[in-house]
Amino acid sequence: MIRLLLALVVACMTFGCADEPGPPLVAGNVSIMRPLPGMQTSAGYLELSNRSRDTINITNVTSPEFASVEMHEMIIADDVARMRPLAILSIAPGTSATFERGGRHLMLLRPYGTADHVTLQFYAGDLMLLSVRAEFESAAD
Amino acid sequence: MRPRNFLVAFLLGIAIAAGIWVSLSLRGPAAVPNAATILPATIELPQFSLLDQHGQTIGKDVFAGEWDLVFFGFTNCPDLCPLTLQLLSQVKKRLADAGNQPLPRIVLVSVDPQRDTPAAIRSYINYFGEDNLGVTGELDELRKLAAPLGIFFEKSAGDGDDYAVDHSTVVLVVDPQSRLTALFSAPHRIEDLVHDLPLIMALE
Repeated sequence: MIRLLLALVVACMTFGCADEPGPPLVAGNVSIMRPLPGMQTSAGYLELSNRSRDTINITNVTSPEFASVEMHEMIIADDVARMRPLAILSIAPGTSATFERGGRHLMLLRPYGTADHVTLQFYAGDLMLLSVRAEFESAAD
Repeated sequence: MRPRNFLVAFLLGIAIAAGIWVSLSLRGPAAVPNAATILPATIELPQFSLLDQHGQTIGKDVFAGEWDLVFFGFTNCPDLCPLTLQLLSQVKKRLADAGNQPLPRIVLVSVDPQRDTPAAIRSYINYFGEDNLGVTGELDELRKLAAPLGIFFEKSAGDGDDYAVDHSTVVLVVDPQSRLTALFSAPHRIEDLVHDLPLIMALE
């Protein structure tokens, strides 16, 4: 019996005996631009990774430091840039979605103050999946 | 021909051939732009009446006497416009560091005159360096300037003051005679502009 228990302990230590999943949505490469002086808009860039076994549909993003945050798709074709709101961002299990310069990005509207940082909260419906805090970067950086 | 004369002629021929080869090698390949489209014929800028960032009325002659890098954008543009102006600012610094003179001026022409007042555009362009020129004004006058240069812009759907503007992404190169000389299509790369601009500015 003791041998059996010892074997179970070793097996747990080796392979893990508790199901402790990490967060379903993880952010990386976060870069949030400080609004230019007197301006009411800014942009945010990051990579969102879906670590869960289900598709994640991000439906809205909020920030305590901004009146509104929108997900935008930027399409450049025939030398013309067209920016459109993105209602839902679907991220398949095990994949990532990137918000990047000159492409899909977050648009941050009407800052409330002059904080040094920004917090972004990503929602699937009413469920907040992720909160990210980052220092602002300067456009001149 | 005597053998000695033949030898002299032979050596002379080799020397001349070697001289030509060395000369061509030193000259290198002809300088060609990396990314710029140089127009086969320049396009004269049209007449217009707009405002600069100080609220002063300006016309076509505001472009006279300077090389200009002209970008059509708007201050509420969160992504492409600040990235482009930041890039142009870095290009100008790189050109200055390399000893290039004269340096081109950066010009932002607003495609969103509803929100881009002279004061708003002044605050915006000053962030990207000194001596920049901001242009705004009546929509009809902006179209007078943009259309002959092939620049497109159109307000897209939105609520109230929350709207975007679709617009051309090219950077235009205007010469000191107020003529469109060349353009850069997106995506813009600093190295391309730093390489190509001195070539374009030498064409005057």
